[in-house]
Amino acid sequence: MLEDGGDELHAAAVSGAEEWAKPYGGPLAVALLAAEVGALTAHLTSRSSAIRAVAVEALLDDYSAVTVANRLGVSRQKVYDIARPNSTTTFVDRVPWRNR
Amino acid sequence: MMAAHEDIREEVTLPDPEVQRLVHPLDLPEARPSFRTGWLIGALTSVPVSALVAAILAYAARSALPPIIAFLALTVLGALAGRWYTDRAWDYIPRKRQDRARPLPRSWELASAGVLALVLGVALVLVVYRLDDPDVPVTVRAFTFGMCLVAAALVLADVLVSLARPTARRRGLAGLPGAAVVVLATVLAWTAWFDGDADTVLLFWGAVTMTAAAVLVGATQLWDRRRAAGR
Repeated sequence: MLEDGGDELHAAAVSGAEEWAKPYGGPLAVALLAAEVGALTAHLTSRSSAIRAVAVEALLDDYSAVTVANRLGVSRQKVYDIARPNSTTTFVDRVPWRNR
Repeated sequence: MMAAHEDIREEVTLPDPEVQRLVHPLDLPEARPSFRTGWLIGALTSVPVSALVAAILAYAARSALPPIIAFLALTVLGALAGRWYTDRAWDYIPRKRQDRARPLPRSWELASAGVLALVLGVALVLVVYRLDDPDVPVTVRAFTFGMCLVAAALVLADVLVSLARPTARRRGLAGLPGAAVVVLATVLAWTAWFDGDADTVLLFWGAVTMTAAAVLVGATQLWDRRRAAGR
């Protein structure tokens, strides 16, 4: 289910078919699976903000916060909230749907 | 600069890195106002200034709560506001080029010492006139004046010694306004408190008490420094 990022589940849910949840084990199972997809995407969101944090941190070494904030389109104080040196959290190396 | 950084250009006009590597907000016209504001707030709400303002307020209000509130509000809000303004000033300088260690201009240090001296002066004048009230016996005044005398001498000696030593001259200069105020307050106390009726014996004992306290403090500091150096 995670391999297509919830595509199949979504297609079934909007199909309007009578017993659309049946192939996946009923509505309860679909709800739990959809939550799993949500957990994965949340993880990816957090992974990308960690990447952004490290990149902005590197920018702040060489450029003024005024410049960085202007280029990112955020306020000056916000730049320091985005930037974080060496995030310690570990993330997945590859998304499930990537071609191997 | 790295090739990957080519699509971003510094928008602040900084001095040429070849000529001046490290930059301070005072070098940049657009950063100077907020740095000055931040420093001013810091000077006006430093812990000694706030404590003295709270003491004056305590004298005026004759209750405990207003000075406590004033002290906390001044120090906490002052520190936050001052920090905010100086941070906004540093925003104009890339982190690698920030000259965080540069000392402030001498006139600024003197000005912030002047603020402290002013508030100290007000507080001391209040003390002098409070003790001049008729309900305070002249013996208390004599003892207090003896203590004042030694304290003023110590403060003055500290400043003069600092001024004489080239390495400590900055510190000495910054202490000058405060020392002047303390000496002036002592002179004021002498003229306000006594009309030639000073009890010299009590005055002497006040001085002895203060000297003993000073020796105790000095010895503690010396011992502390020895221990820190021996570690």
